[in-house]
Amino acid sequence: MDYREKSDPELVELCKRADERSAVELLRRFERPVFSLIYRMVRDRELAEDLAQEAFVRAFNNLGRYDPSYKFSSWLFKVAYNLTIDHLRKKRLDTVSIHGSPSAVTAELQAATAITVESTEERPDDALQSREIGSEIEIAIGELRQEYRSAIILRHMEGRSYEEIAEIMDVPLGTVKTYIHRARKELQGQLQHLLE
Amino acid sequence: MRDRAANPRRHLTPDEVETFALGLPARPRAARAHLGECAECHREVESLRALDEALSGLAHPAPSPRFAEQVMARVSLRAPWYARAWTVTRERWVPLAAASLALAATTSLMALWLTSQPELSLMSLSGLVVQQIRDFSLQVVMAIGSLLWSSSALRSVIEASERIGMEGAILLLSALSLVTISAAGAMMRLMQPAPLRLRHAA
Repeated sequence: MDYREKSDPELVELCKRADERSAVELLRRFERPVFSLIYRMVRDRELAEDLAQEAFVRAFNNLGRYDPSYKFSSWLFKVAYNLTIDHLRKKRLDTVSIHGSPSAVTAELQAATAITVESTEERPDDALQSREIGSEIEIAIGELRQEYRSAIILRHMEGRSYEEIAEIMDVPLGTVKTYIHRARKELQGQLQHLLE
Repeated sequence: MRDRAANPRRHLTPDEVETFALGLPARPRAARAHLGECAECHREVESLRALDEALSGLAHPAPSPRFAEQVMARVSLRAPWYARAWTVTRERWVPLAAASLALAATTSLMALWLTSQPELSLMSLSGLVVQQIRDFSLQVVMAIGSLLWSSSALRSVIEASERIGMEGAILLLSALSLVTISAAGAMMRLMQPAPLRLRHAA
């Protein structure tokens, strides 16, 4: 049986019947995209690897809860995204972002919830990791607000539809559009010299 | 689209800009006509196209080579029992059939013998156990009894058990029990899934 020729839903069905080789094939297909998303969100290779590992383990061990009417990849990204966001929230519990509340989607709401108590300057080791990931574009992505960053990665690097991104990030469709629109504007501003 | 029909000079919406920049299927003619005339919208489309190319061209960083192995070491996939049984039956039907046959044969023999020994229920040490076994065995015998009776196999067994006596019967019962337990053990081992070989991940 050649697992590489099987579709994602077929592999998931086999996985549900405890066929471990199908799980390995799903891992082979999605380890890079899932790891990349998490790595770009947390910007720490070891932590990204731990979180990606946990995401896959949770996904495989909870396949019974997976609703086959959704794409498996979207569900997997959702597990990975939630795990990473939870981790980042715990890490930042004692700090307040100068960007305001993550749920604030309008400029007014952001301004109303914004408090200037810490610098968003990248720490030297973070900057080093950005360079490790790649280019000036990676650094620009790293400077985006967390929600914008996740949305733009899912849209332009993973080719996810707006509906899928809304499902993964558990936000309304309009919010996804806002995130992506703003992320694009920020990136276009920062990378103008490269994009022309 | 009605808006554009009413006002063809209106600039492209962000959705329309994206449609043209990413080459998505739905590119309405009216918007295309506007794009051909409007330098500002054209610039926006080109800028987004360049950004998309830059972003989609970035490499996916890879996790460490042992990533898959580490994940699989922590994963415990559990299939429903009937799915496991079906998979094992398909993959190992020959040894499983042999074990089942041995189990069925020894159980039947035990059942036949027990039904021919009514005085066993009076044995003080194992009376209770034997009684329970006999009750269960009677049900098994009912199922296969008519078939065996027609070939007079049951009568032969009863006659044989009368000839070998109580001590011989207990020895025979012990031997049959050992065979039954071994066959059941073999079936349990056969039901275990095959170990995973992670070289498939390479």
